[in-house]
Amino acid sequence: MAKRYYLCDIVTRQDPSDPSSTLVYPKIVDFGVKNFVAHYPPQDVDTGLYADSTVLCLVADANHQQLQGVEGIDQFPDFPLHGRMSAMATPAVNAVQAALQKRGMPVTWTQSQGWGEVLRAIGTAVAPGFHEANFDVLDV
Amino acid sequence: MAVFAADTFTGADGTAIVGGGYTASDGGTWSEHPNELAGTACLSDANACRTSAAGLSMYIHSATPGGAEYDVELDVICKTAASPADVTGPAGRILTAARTYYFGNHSRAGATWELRKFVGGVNTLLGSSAGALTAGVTYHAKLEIRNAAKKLFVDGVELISSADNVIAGAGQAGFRQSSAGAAMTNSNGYHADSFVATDLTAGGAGTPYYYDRRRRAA
Repeated sequence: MAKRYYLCDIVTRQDPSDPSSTLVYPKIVDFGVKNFVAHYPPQDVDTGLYADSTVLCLVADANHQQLQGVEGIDQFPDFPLHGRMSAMATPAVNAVQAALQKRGMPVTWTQSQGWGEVLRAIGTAVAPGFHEANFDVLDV
Repeated sequence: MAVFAADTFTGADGTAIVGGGYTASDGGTWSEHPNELAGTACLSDANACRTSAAGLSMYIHSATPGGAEYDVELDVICKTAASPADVTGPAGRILTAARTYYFGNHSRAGATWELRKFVGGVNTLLGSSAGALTAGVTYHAKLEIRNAAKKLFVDGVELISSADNVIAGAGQAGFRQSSAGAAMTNSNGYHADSFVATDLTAGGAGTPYYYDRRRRAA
């Protein structure tokens, strides 16, 4: 199964082996995901605090079904990056729009844009500097 | 590209790498990050670096890079299983004013290679890649630090690439080593070896220090 993009909640908890620090990771980790990369919102360089609670992830795990329908985890469609939005099935488009709306992310697109362009806009909305070419994880 | 920091961790078994007069093989010295927990890194009986007691720290090489973009490489030697909390890996853009740096490591607890950042005491998992280590095998980890991407390579294979660039200062290079549950011994834990940091300035030794050491060891 191909890699897939997700928007998901950020989890914050105390590090059990280092009480002076806080662990931060995407919620997908709590569901057994081990192969992923995450793009976080802007972070205060003094306090380490994040400006928002949504992270964009690229997940390479073979089984994406375990993440379907989980609250706080929004799965994006398995669709080619170069594929035009006009070719994406309506339910998939609706799911993307619903995830963005729920998280207050004002990302829009035209039918002629590619899914990769839309993902770049979503990544940039999470935090500036995102580019899909610099965001990857080894496939499994 | 030029090597600006290197250490082969050569010396007597049990020698502490911080204080005690130890000098890295390139003439530099090691210090502990002032905002980390207490570290216990020392030389092993096979010219590598292990811990002498339970502890966790970031070890910083005294050299400074020629810019903010550079590579930090480290051998992770997997000995027989020790504490599940064992962690060892290269680090860069280490800033000492706060607990701030990028690092890559293998986590025995998660059986994953991880790319992380520490900012202001917050330890963020940027990405991970599954892979248990085999006892007796040495793995070569490279943290590639560029403004556009931070990448973790293991044995030449790119595992994780992150666009994060929150830590922009050049800082210094080093490695993180933890045995929070119990001390590493000469025969267990994740030992560190063949530390080398290379910046993008022109010149340098020509032959990467790491490969030179490998030839000598062969």
